[in-house]
Amino acid sequence: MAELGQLLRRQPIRIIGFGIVAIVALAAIAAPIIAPFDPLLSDANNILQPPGGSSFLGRDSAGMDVLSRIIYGGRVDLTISLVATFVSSAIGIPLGVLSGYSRRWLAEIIGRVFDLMQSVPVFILAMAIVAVRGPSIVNVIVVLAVLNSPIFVRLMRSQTYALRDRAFIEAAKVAGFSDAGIILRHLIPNAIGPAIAQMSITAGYGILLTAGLSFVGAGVRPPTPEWGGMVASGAGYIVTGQWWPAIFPSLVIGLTVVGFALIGETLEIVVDPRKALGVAAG
Amino acid sequence: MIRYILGRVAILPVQVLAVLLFTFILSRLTKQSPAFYMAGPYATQETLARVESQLGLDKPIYVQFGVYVANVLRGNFGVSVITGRSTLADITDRLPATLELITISLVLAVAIGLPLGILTAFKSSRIAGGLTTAYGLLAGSFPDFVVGILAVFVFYTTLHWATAPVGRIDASVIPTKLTGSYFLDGILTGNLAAVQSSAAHLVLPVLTMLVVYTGGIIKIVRTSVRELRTSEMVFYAKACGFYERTRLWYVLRNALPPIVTITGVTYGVLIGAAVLVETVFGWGGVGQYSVQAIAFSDFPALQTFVIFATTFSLVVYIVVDILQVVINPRLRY
Repeated sequence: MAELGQLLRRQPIRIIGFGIVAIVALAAIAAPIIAPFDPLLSDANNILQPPGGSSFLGRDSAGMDVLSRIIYGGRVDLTISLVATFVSSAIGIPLGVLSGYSRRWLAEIIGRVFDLMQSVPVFILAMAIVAVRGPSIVNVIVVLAVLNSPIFVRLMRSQTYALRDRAFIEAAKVAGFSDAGIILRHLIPNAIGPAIAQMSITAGYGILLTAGLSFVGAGVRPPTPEWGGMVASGAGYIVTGQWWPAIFPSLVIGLTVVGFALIGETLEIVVDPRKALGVAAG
Repeated sequence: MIRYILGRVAILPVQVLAVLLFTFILSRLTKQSPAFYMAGPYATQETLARVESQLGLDKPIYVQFGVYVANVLRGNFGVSVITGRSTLADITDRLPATLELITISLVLAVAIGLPLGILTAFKSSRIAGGLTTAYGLLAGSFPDFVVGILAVFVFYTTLHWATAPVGRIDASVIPTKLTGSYFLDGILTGNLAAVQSSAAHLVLPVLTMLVVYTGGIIKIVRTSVRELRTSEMVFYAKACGFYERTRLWYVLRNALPPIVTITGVTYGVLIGAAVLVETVFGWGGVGQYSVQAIAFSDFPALQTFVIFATTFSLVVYIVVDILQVVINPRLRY
């Protein structure tokens, strides 16, 4: 944490990422207080009302207030991506350490399975599973949690490979630590840095996937306010000039993901200062 | 080297089998019986019963998987609920449209990303560095369907520069079918009107892909070229008095492996991106087919798409692995 504070003082521009995510998160938490309208309230007299006046960002094709839906949509998108990210890391981190530390065939199989998962398009797998199981928030969380875990396995495995033959691990072994003790007390604390930085990147990626899934109809169902679904239902009106129901949530998706990516990049530098020089870590 | 290549290719059937296990499990998680989807929506009770026994639904689950794999190997993927045709025929009809879109996008992404990556690795100008960093950040953060919609809004709705985001070509100028890619067929048959119309329809979807996916290529090229430029090997070459031109060649030659990898990875990513981009532009390829399949619960169609798309990316990864051994002597042992 001390390194993080130091980095932020030296390069204050890095606060932007934290700022964006904090604003979106606070708006989502305080949604009932700050949203000007009920996100599900459709006003049939003001369908596709342009931005301005009582509806700051306009109204969509069902006459629902775009700003209120964006604020409430943050609850859905952030919940899905954050919960999924925690579960992915809870799956990936232990499996990665095990497959890096153990020299048995089981480790080999874990590695192979997760490698295979990384060499097929994640979005297609996610879409197929959610479509078959039925679109719902829980299904999207489960699918993202599983499909995003290989990156954590890979990061922890390569870190563990680099550490397992180091002298302090040997010393712990000689001192009589059990394998479980070595993994918990020595390996995980020393190997976890990159995985923590990755969590922020995965959270941003989770928002991209959630929005994409809803866009193709394999995610959160309308009229639940969700950013990707808002883009999908507004997309058809772009060609006729009513751009606001699709463009505003589009920008919010992009900005939020930029925020998470910036945080991830900052954390990467904190855990591995060589990254700041543009030198990739081995 | 030959042994490595054969060994690597031999893994493919195992990987495809794993994919089939995945789609098999999916097919058993649907609400309706798999026989319902196999026989099509208009099947009689008798046909349904016959298909059920054909699929071995009364037998143990591993036998069912055997039957499933055998069916796929015979090209029997099921009947589409929407079109009423074999899903294999549906997919092969639409595959050229998708391959046309993603291949042209990939070629242009590399053609743009490679020189830009090399250039920014050498130029240490602040503005160029800042611009590429900002672009890298934005490109990875705006989803492709959002970029596509923004492109339609700017270039079609507002500026009226582009053609309407529907379809791949004007129906009046469709060229004689050779490869199934209208652009390529137009060139091959010398049909200028077809080439023009196809290109006009390609502009926005390809632009969308380029905006989103060139960033990754630039980043990898820049990092690996920069790393090599400051490497001990190149430093030594300089100390030995080699010309700048020779040293540049050393850098580029050694940066080739990561460049080949990112090119392959991007191709694999593009088939997934096609699902969303095709939907935005009404492209009519396998990606849009899969989205229609979701809307109408057409699970045989969805499943066939998943098998094709994943196999495509697995094959791309094999080609990348083989190229790695060919271009990187250190991997030949």
